[in-house]
Amino acid sequence: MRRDVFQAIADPTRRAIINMIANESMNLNAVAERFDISRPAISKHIKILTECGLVTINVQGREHYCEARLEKLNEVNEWVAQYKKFWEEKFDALELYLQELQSKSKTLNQGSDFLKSHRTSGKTRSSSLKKGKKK
Amino acid sequence: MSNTTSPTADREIVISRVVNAPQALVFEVWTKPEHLQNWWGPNGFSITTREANISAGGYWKFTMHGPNGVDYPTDVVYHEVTPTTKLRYAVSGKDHPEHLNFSTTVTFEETGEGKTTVTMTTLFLSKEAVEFVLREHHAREGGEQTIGKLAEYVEKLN
Repeated sequence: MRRDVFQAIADPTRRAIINMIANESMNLNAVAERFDISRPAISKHIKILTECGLVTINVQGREHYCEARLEKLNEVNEWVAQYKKFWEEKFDALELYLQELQSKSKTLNQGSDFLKSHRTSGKTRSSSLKKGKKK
Repeated sequence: MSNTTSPTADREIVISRVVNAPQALVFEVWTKPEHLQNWWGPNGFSITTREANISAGGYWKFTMHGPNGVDYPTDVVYHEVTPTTKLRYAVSGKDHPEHLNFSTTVTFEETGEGKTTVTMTTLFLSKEAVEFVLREHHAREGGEQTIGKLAEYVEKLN
């Protein structure tokens, strides 16, 4: 299963664990003691957090210390920025495609039901052929 | 562009554009595979439709062919299809983990002179998760620029 920062912060227990160790690393047992749920359940959450890159485990003798890697949270911002950029580009492509469809429609109609029905009605479309402006 | 009244505003990504085409045509190119495959995919990708039944409860199953020769099978499931004003759907795919199957709403509004405003709203995280990211970052980074875009974005929306 794929692991990423979204998976890590989707769960309230995992968010609580990160809160707890955000400022200083903590022994795994000490983390588990602060929760009402079972030790194996906490271990599983911590395992997911390590797989998502938000927690690293440092072994010192028999002690397992959990350390938060908060820089991973940057990926949320990056993802939002990427998603917006992707869809702004798609809207550019949509505009271009609509423009193409409407200019070809005079002769071909490009398989558009809307344009077919409007050609036969003789409605003029010249006002739609100007280049669209963003936003 | 941003919706300041929505209770989900802090976990939405809103993208809006006025396009130079009538509402019915814009709706058509969002709901017919033969049109969708001409503009939907990432730049440099081509799209083959495998199966389509774009209606409420229906789907559009397609494969995106990347410039590197890799195929990305993708499914869009439609929760709402209201001609010619509104769509609501979720996207899933092999490189699209389940928890990223965000719900997206697209509205088409006539804005006069044969133009249409298309607004796409994507719910991307729980409110708690967004608050968490903001809070933890402020605590650790002391409000440095790393918090950047998300903070700006959320503040703008509120």
